[in-house]
Amino acid sequence: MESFENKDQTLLDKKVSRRDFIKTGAVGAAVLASDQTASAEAGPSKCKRLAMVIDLQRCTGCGGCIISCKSENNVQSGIAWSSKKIKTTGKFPNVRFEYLPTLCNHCENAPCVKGCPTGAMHKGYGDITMHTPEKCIGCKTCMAMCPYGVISRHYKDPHSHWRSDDALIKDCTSSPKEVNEKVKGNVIPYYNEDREKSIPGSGLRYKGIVEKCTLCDHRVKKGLLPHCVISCPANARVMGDLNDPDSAASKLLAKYRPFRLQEHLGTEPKVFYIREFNPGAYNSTKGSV
Amino acid sequence: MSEQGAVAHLAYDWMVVTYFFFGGLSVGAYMFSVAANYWKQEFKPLAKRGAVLSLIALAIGMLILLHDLGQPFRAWRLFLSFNPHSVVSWGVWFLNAFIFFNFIYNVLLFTGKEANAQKFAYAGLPFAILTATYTGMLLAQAPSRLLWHTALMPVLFLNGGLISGIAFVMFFSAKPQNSALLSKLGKLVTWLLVLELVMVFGEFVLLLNGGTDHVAVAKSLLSGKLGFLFIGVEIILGAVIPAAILLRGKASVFTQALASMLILIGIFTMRYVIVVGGQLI
Repeated sequence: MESFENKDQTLLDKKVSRRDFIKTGAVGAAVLASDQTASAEAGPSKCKRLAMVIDLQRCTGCGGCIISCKSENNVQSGIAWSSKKIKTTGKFPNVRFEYLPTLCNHCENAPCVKGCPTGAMHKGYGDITMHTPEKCIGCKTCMAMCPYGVISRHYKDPHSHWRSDDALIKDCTSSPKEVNEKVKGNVIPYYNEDREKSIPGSGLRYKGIVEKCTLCDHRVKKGLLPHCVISCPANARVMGDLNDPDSAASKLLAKYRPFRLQEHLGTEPKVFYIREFNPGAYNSTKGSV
Repeated sequence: MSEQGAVAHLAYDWMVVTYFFFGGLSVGAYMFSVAANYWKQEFKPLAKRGAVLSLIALAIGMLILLHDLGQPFRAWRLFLSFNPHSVVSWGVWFLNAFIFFNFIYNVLLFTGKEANAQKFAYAGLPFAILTATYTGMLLAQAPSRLLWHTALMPVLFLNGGLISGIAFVMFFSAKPQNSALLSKLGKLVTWLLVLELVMVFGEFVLLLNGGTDHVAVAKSLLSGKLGFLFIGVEIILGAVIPAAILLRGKASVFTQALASMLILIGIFTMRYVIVVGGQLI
């Protein structure tokens, strides 16, 4: 496990230059850059522990993270790597609606990694809980072990829609198959090559195996932030290295009192939630015309 | 918080339940066969039948287990990589050792090499027990499934395996000439059923006196569709009624077969309720 991380670390040090970070232009990227210099100085013994901080006061519940994750990782319908939990309490007009964005918690003490018999589920770069599709035999033990229900299995062949010849209007509109051939897509038009390059077999998953959030490892290894983080319009998601006290994530965790899902299980999840939506925090006005 | 948006698939569905059932049943039949052959000579007429039934049940269970895998042709990976934290990883070796010894035991028994058969039968016993218990330990490994996460699971599963194994042998040897033997076996099964009920009761004492989540699990088992399966099928139809039939003393061949079939249904339901019920909350 350690050698794997070290290999990735050197890969990162070689490939990623300062310029790459400036290119991204995002504030978060600068945060990540400081993370990377910190860990490069500390050497391989001090690996990164990438974590996600979700600010619930900022989160508006738009579901942008869910959609962006789907398009980045071509997640098949019926499966969501990035998801949500919602809860409505009370009786009208005194109601309360809670929205909690969820994703794989990348637990430090991950039950799925412990349960996996073939090592397909493992700890990868930055302590991300990774899944190697080629090693997965589809025994679903990880699904049974996961306390958060974030691992899904393909019961059918995914993306079969793009192989169908059924046009919406016959002899008028293109069939999904024709669209796919026109754009020279690899099975699907919105295929992500980087996904496949990062872990072979993970570009397009197939029937029988499981899949889950990889914290956009294909982006993170290049020094980019996960797609859900950059596409959050409210900037509610912050990613950073827990081993670096100067990372934006560590600073937020020091400032607020975070909570994690099912902390009592001792899985040490690395998705932290800070604050909670409180309408009283905003000034009450009568609006304007 | 209720979950919306995510599709909740059961990780372990009826196929795993069926594998657990046949795996446990095979272990029970094997242990009965060994006991009948070498410890309780009065049951010796049923020993060979028990050994064959054990092997057949094991084959059915293995086929279903392989069918349950998403990528069954990658099953060889289980032998090349070993994860000491994973109960499944250990279980694969226990299961394969049990298959090996069970098969050799059957071959030697039917070719008449009694002395060698005994050696292999004894060598297979630990692996038989491990095969029946690892399935329970596998469930107990899940930290968040409150119904599974108890030390009772392996014992409950071994006991269930013994009950169903003996009931399976009883069902397939229900003939007038075996009637006296079967009524003796019926008494043994009844006591094992009592043991199972005690363990289930203990589980409920634990759940009902636990935290809010524990109580929610207990309530989900006592109400709705699962409640019907648990109380109606597992407890009443699968344990109380057959126990009453078998304890009556004078039972006909038909009632003995009926009682053993009811026990098999009850044990299957027990596994279903635990495996599926454990994943609902």
